[in-house]
Amino acid sequence: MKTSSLQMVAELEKLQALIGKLPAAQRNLASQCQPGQIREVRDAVLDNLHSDQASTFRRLSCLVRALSAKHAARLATDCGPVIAARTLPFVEPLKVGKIARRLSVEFLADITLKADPRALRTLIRHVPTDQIASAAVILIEQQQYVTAGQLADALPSTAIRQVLALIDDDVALLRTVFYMDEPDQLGDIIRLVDNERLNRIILAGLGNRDTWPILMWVIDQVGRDIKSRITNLIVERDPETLNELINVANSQALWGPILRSLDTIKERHQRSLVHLQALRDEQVLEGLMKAAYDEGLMANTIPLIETMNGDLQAFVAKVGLRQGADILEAFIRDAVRQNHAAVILTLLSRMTDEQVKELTTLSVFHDNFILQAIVSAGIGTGQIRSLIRFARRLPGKGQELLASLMAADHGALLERLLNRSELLGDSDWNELVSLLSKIRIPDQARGVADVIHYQSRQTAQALKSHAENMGMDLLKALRL
Amino acid sequence: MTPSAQLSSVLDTLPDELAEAIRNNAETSLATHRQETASELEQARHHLSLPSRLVFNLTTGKDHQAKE
Repeated sequence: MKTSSLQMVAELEKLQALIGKLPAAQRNLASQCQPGQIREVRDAVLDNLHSDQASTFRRLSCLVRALSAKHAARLATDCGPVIAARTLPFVEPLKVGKIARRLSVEFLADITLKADPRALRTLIRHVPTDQIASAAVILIEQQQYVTAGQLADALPSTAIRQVLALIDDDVALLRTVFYMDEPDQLGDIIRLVDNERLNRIILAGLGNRDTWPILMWVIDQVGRDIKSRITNLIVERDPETLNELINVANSQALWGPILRSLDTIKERHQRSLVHLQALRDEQVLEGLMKAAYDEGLMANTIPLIETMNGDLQAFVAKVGLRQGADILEAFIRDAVRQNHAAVILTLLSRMTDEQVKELTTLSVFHDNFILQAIVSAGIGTGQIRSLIRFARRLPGKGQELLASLMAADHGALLERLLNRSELLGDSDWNELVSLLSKIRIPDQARGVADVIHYQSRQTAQALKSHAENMGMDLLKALRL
Repeated sequence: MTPSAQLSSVLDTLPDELAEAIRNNAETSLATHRQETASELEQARHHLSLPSRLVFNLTTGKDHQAKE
C-alpha cells in the first residue's frame, strides 16, 4: 500500500459512505486507478443525487427566503434533516447562517450527514463557530469519521481548536483527518495543535496497530518540520514496537512514507533504526529495496547504509545483489547523483571477490561519469584499496576505461590517488601497476609517466619495483 | 451534460467490473435517496399546521415522487 494507495483507501471509503460497500473483488480493482478518479466518481454521484428533484427544493428555498429566520428554522425542524439538507444549497449563505443559529447542534449534525459536503464547505463560515465545533464533536463521537473528516479542512481555526479541546479520543482525531478532502492542508491543522497534544495523538496512534497506516499517511502529508517531529517521536519508541512497525510497513507496502521521512530522523536515532532486528530479515530488506526502487527513493536509503555496521552492510550487499540489474543500477546512479558514490565502494568492500565480479558486470560501469565519480569518491574518502579492488575486477573494457580516466587530464586522478599511496598494501601495488599497463593512448601514457616521475622517491620506487616483480618495465611501457 | 451522463462518462475511465459495481450501488443509493426524500416530505406535511401545510404543498407540489 503506497501513500497514493492510502489516499485511495480514504477515497474509496468516502465513496462507500455515499453508495454503500462495494464487493471486495471489485474494490480491489481500484488499485489500478488514481485516487483522483475515485474522487471524480464521488463528485458525479453527489451531483446525481443532489440534482434529483432539485426543482422541488429550489421552490422550497424560495419559501425559506420569504420566511423569517425564526420561522425558517421551525420549518427546517418540522421537515427534518433530509429536506433541510437538500434545500440548503439553494438558500443564500447568510440566511443559512441566521437559520443555523436557531437550530440545535444535534440537528445541524444530522443535516451534515445528509447534505452535499461540497455545499457545506462554502456554508460553514456563515455558521457560528461554537455550533460548528459542537456539531463536529457530535459527528466524531458518533464515529462518523468520513463526514467529519471531509469537512475538517474547511473549518475555521477557532472551531478546530474547540474540537481539539472537546475531543479526548486521540485515535478518533487521527481517523477523522484521514478523510480530509484537501489533505495538503493537514499541516495547517497540525500547527494548531500544541506539542504536548501532538505527542499524545501520535503515541495514541502508535498504540493502536489499526492506525499505523494513518500515521504513515499523516507523515506523508505534512511539511518537513512536522514530519521530523512525528518521525522522531516514532523512532524513540521501544525496539519491539519499531520492529513490529517495520513488519507492518513491509506487509502493507508502506515503505514510501518511511523512506521519505528518513532524512528528518536525528543521527542517533538512525543508528538504532537501521540495526533493528526486523531489518535483518531478507524478505523485509527486499521489500524495502523494491519500494525504494518503485518510488524512486533509492537515494533516501544511502544515509541508512552509511550508518550500518560492517556485518549489516555485508548483509545489505548480499541481498542487494539479488535484486537484479535494474535495482542495482538505479541505486548506483542515485548514489552518484547525490554525491554519495563512496557508499558504492563501502558496500563493495563488504563483498566477496565473486560478488564484486558479479557487480562489475553491470552496464552502468561503462559510463565514464559513474566511474569518474567512484574514483574521485574512493580517493576522497581514502577507500583506495576498495577502489583498486573494484577496478581490477571490472571486465577488460571497463579496466581500460577506468585506467584511461585516471590518466586523463595529465594523470590528475592518478596523482591524487598516489598522494594517498600510504593506504596501499603490497597486492594493491601490483593491481595498480596492472591497471596502469592498460593505458593505450600515447598522450595519456606520457601524462602518467610524468606523474610517476614527479612522485616521491618512495612512491616511484614502489611502483617500479612492483612492476619489475611482475616482469614489466612500467615507464618503458608507458613511453610506448 | 446531465449528472447521470457525467457519472457514466467518469465510470468509463475505471476498470469495467469496478465501474459496474459502482453503477449498481449508485443506482440503489439514488433509489433509496428518492424514497427517503419522498417519505420525509410526506412526514413533513403531517408535522405542519394546516396553513403551513397548504403553503408547503403549493411549494413542493406533488412531483416530489416523480423522477425529474
